[in-house]
Amino acid sequence: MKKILFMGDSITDSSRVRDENNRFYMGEGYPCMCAGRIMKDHPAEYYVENVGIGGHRIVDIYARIKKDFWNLKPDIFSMLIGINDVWHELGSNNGVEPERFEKVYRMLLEDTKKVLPDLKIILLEPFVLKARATEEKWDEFLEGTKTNAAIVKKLAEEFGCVFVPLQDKFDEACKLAPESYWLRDGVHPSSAGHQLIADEWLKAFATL
Amino acid sequence: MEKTRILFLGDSITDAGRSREGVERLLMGQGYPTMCAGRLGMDHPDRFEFVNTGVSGNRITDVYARIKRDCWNHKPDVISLLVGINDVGHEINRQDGVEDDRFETVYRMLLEDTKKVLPKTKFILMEPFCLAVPHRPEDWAAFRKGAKAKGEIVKKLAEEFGCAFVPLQDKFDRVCNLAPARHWIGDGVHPTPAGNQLIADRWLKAIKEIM
Repeated sequence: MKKILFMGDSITDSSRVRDENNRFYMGEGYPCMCAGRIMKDHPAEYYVENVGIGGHRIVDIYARIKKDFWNLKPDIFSMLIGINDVWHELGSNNGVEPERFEKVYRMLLEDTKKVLPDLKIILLEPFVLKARATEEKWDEFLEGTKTNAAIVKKLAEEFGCVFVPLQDKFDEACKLAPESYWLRDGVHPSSAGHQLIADEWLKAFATL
Repeated sequence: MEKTRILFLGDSITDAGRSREGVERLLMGQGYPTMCAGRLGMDHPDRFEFVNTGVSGNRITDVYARIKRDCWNHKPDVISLLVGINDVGHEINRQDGVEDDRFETVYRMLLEDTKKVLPKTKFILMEPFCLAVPHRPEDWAAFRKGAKAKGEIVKKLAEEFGCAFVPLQDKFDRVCNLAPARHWIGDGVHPTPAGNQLIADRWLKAIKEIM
């Protein structure tokens, strides 16, 4: 059985159950939807775990890289990170600037390649829409998120990872329904927004 | 266009650890309601809205007890109900179940009373189910027998009241040829993501039939 690991912040966490003995509950977001689709359509081929934690930035992920990543020995690693690196700067002067974001993200990939050379990696693009939590400092939010997204895309190419573009998809979806329909507060997806991510993720997964 | 409001009602399988506060309450828990809401919400933007009022441990009598606050007052256009396994399990484990005749009486009351209050509302009634998982000590023969009896009652009432019926026990039995029972229903009662996807896929067929 191949193990798929979902890593990230609150979008990935999505209120998952933190019971070591019951790792079947994936939260109420895209990992749950991806896990359901894969594990139903390919029974007994894949095992899925979610280790996302709300509030995390790239540095927080790097800090727990052994316990929550390497030690779990995944075959496929999926990561969505970058919005808190922007948001925590705007909200509490505790973000991660683009230079450090790139440096630590690259360290994570480099170090991981050494420890798990056969690992396949799926990197998701951070995204943002203008809604309740983001409208006040919208220009900063958009610029910061786009900068981090470009870094993730560049690193994906550099390290041969699959990149999942999402910002364009969300922008496109906003022609059909308002921003808050997809991302409730501009950051956290609704069920429909999570499905959008899951659909794009599953497309990327199929290319592995 | 007025949105179609779909309400998920049931026990822990529906509850699925749903958030009860803040903006998070807009999410649907870690189970089939999230998968149903995601799929419909993505494919038909702005046409549906969803409410999940599943509560863990509920039997039909518990659902009936909170029918106003957690169902009627939301004025749903579609009510999706999955209940019955605790009516069986609570009897086996602690002599606090709901026997078949009371289950039928209260389930019928719920449908009759709701038809009066919300005459246009459509129902999706789901079949209760379980799978025997060897690593758990439950009396699986008793669970299976009880779930089957409850399933037959739900099916009969669905026909009587013109509701959509979602068969599930057969589906779960059949997929056990592909992977062990615990792959689908971890503890025999609560579905894994794979099991929830199975439910969601079947539910999405049912909603297409009634919309």
